[in-house]
Amino acid sequence: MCYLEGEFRTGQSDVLLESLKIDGVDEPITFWMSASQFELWKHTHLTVDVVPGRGSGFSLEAPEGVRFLIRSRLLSEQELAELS
Amino acid sequence: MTVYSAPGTEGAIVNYESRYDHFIGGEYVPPAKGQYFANPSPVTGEDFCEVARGTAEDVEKALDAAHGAADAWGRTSTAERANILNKIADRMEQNLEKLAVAECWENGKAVRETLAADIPLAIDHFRYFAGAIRAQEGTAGEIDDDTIAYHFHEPLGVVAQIIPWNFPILMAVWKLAPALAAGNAVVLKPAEQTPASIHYWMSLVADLIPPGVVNIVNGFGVEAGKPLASSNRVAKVAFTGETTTGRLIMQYASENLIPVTLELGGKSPNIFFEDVARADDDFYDKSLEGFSMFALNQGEVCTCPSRALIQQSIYPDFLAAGVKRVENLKQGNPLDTDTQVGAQASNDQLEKILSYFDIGRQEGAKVLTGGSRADLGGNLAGGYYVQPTIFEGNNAMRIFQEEIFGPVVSVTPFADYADAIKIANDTLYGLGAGVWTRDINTAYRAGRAIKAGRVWTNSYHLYPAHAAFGGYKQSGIGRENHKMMLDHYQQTKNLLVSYSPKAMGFF
Repeated sequence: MCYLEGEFRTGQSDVLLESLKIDGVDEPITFWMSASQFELWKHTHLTVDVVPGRGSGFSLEAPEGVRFLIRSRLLSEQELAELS
Repeated sequence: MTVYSAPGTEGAIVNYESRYDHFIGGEYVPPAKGQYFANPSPVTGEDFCEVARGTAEDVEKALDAAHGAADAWGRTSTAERANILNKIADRMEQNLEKLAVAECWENGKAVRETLAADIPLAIDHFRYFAGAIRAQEGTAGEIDDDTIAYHFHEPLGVVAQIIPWNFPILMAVWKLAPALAAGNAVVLKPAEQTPASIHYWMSLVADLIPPGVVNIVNGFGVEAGKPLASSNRVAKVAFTGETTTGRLIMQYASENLIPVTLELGGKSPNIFFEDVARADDDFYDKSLEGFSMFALNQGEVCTCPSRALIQQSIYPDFLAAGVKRVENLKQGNPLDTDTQVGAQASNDQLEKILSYFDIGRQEGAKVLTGGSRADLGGNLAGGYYVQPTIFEGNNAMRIFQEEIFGPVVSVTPFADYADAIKIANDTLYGLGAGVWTRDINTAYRAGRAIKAGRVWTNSYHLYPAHAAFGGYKQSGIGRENHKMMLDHYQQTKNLLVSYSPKAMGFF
């Protein structure tokens, strides 16, 4: 889900994974996940892809005819070592 | 066997309009901004109608209509409201087959399921709440000889309901029936993936409902759902859907200090204890059907039994029999009454499921059957079909922990009772669970030990009215499907009355 900055209140039960720099967008896009979900996902590398389609929920891209799709791969041993 | 003609083609028993506006104040109203969006059928991937793309202006208009109707509706007698609900049920029953085909076409699910489950359950739901509201009564508490506490149920007023796409009519009815029975006016937003079937339903029952009591605003979440859910003119928001959106809706509700009921995600365990295989009998056959239930509604059920836990001692044989059972499921044209597995509801859902096939394989889960998109050829080639899929792995894998919402089960063995409960509860969610055993003590203990709102015991995927349904943990707040749901749509009014003529003596 993608919301306007400040639309979704994040707190102690969330983890900020990254501030993404997007070409043509001045502000960094912060990427959050709930801490409980992060525990289950932290061994994977995530790519936020954009594909044609219809998003759902209250996500901003839904009316645009595209949607975000998370693609995942396992982190390599080297990447895991760097992150630990 | 029957193959229904697609709506809009020759021989069809039901047809959609080419365009749907908002239903506000008892009539159709075009969207303020004049925009519409296309609505494809998952059966073929082709558009079959267009639907109003609502915005805040439309939501306000619907709220105006609801507020205009709420007081008079709330004052109607329970007998009058119950009669209307019963008439809606009768009208639906007279048109059951048409409703079933309409929902099948819009959602992609197999028509045998809408004929046998979705629509009959929706009909019964109206009748259940018609009965429940007639039987509900307040209380009178005798505090002392002079003082009586009366408790009355009063409607909340105007409520917002946001409906998911997996059961477009049934999920709307789960929310509408108790809200209307309790005397509330409703502004309802269907999912943008399935925006039209509720309008077909409305075309059948509109004359039975006073104008403004039920209003339908279509559109996207960010444009129509958000102004509705965040409005300070609604007394409650009911939402079924994905967990992050549920959290956002709760945040909006906190700004307005209103209650929410949330029915969110799940990753339900389906536990098979070794005694199920003690005999090769009807019960064993039933338990294998229970294993296969993950494919019901193409897995697009928040209580999909998407984790199967099988006791080690019977694991190889039971799993082999389960794979065989699943491989015999008939996937095909959803409009064919022989079809057991239809299409996913949207292309997005299809893509998401395929992305889980990818990460599941990468994490080392073994595909025992399925594992890819199903190409059914012909005019179904553009539809959104996924093979029923069985993964074997362990509970730490992401396919065991995330709601895939597809015909996908992740299977793992367990050693003993304690191990089964540990794995079953090792999840963020707590909506449903299944327990299969011939031993009543195991059944009872396991059912109580699993942290989930609904534990099907030697059964699965039954949704009768009068059995409370709702989640523990991150699966939500509140219950549906039971008369206790009336409380979620009512205020409690206490009149504390003194029958003494004497001063209290304080001043």
